[in-house]
Amino acid sequence: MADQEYERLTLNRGAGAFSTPGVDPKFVPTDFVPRPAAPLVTFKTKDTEPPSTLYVSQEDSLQIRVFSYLAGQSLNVLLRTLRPDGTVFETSQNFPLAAVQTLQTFQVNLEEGYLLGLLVAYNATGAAPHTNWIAVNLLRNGSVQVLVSGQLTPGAFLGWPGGPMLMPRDGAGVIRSITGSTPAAGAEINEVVPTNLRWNLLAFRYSLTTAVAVANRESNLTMDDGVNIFVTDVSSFTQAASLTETYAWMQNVQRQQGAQATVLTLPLPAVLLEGGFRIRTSTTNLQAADQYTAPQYLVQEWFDNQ
Amino acid sequence: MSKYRCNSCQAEYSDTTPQGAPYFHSCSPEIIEHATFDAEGKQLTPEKRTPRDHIRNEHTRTDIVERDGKFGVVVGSMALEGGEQFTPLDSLILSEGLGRTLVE
Repeated sequence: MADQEYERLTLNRGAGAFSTPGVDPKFVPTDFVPRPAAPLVTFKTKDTEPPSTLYVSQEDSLQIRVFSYLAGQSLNVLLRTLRPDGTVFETSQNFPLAAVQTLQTFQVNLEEGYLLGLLVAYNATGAAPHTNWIAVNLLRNGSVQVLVSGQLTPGAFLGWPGGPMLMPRDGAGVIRSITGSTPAAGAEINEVVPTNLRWNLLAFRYSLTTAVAVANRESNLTMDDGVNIFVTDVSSFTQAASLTETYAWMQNVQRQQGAQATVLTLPLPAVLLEGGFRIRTSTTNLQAADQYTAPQYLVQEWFDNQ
Repeated sequence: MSKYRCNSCQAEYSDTTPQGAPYFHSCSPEIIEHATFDAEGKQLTPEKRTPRDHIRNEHTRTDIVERDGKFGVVVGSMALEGGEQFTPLDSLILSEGLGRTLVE
C-alpha cells in the first residue's frame, strides 16, 4: 500500500508543473537522443568593437585616495588595458600606506587604450579590525569619473567594472573594542573620538573604587562636541566610601542594579559621535584618592572626512 | 604594544587596543580641587574645577594634508595671490603637552 501511494504521488511529477497526483498520466522517461545541428548564432572574430566603453589616453591617470590608519599596510592596484594594437596589457603597482588619520593620495599613469578592468587589494593580512575607505577616480586635470569606492578588508577586493560606489559613511562600519586610559587618582575618565572617524558608541564599561574619605559619589556619563555637552546620562546610584562598583553603560538596556554583584547596568543613548567629540565621566563628590579603571568600550566606526 | 604614562595628567595607557589598532590618548580637560567632607558627610569646602594647562592630545590634527608623500599643513591657496605654502610636520598630533614616559 505504501509503495502504491508513493507511486501515485511521485511518478507523474514529470507531466508538468500543474500535474495532479493520481489524475494526470504518469511520466515515462525515454532514452536521451542527441541531435547535433549547426549553431544558429555566429560571432564576429575580426574588426570587433572594444569590450570596454572607457577609453583613456596618456593624458589620463588614475587617482587612488585611501584612508587607513593602521601601520605597515599597503595597497595593490592591478590594471588591464586593451592597447590600440589589440594586445592586452596588465600592470600592477604597490603603494605602502602611512599610519595617519587623513586621506592619502596616489597616482597611476595610464597608457592609451581601453581600460578593461581594475582591481584594488588591501595587503593587511592579520591586521587588526580598523576602518578604511578607498576611492579610485579617473583624473585629467581634475577628477572626471569615479570608478569604484568602498571599504576593504584583507582578502577582499574592490574592482571595476561592477564594483560598489560607497561613500565613507555607507555600510556597516567596523566594530572595535577599545581600552581607554586609566586616569590618575581623583581624575575623571576622558575618551575622544579620533580625527576623521565617526562612532556609534555601543557599550562603555568601567569601575570606580572609592577611597575611605566620607562622601556620597555619583558617577555619571556625559558626551560633548569638544566644548558643549549634549548628553548627560545619570546613573542615579550613590556610591559611598570604600566601595568598588562597576558601571556598564549599554544601548538597548534598562537600568538594573545587581542583586548580589556590585554591577550597574545603565542605558546608553544611540548617538553618533564625530571626530573630536568626547565621552567623559562626571562624578559628583569625587575624592582625591578615588580611582577609576580604564574604560573598556565597543564602538561601530566609519571613516568620516567632513 | 607599549604602555605609557602621560606627563601632563599622569594617566596610563597602551598605544594599542586589544585588537591591535592604535589608541590615541587625550588628557581630561579639567583639574579638580575635590570637595571635602567631615566624618558625618557634611560638606566643608566645595569642589572646584579649572581648565588643565599643557593638555596632551595624541589625535591627529584636522588640518593635515598630504603632498608628494609628506604630511603637513597648507597656508594659502593656489587660487589666491601668493599661492599655496606647504609645511611638512614631524609631529601630526594636536598637542604634545608635557610629553609621555614609557612605562613598559
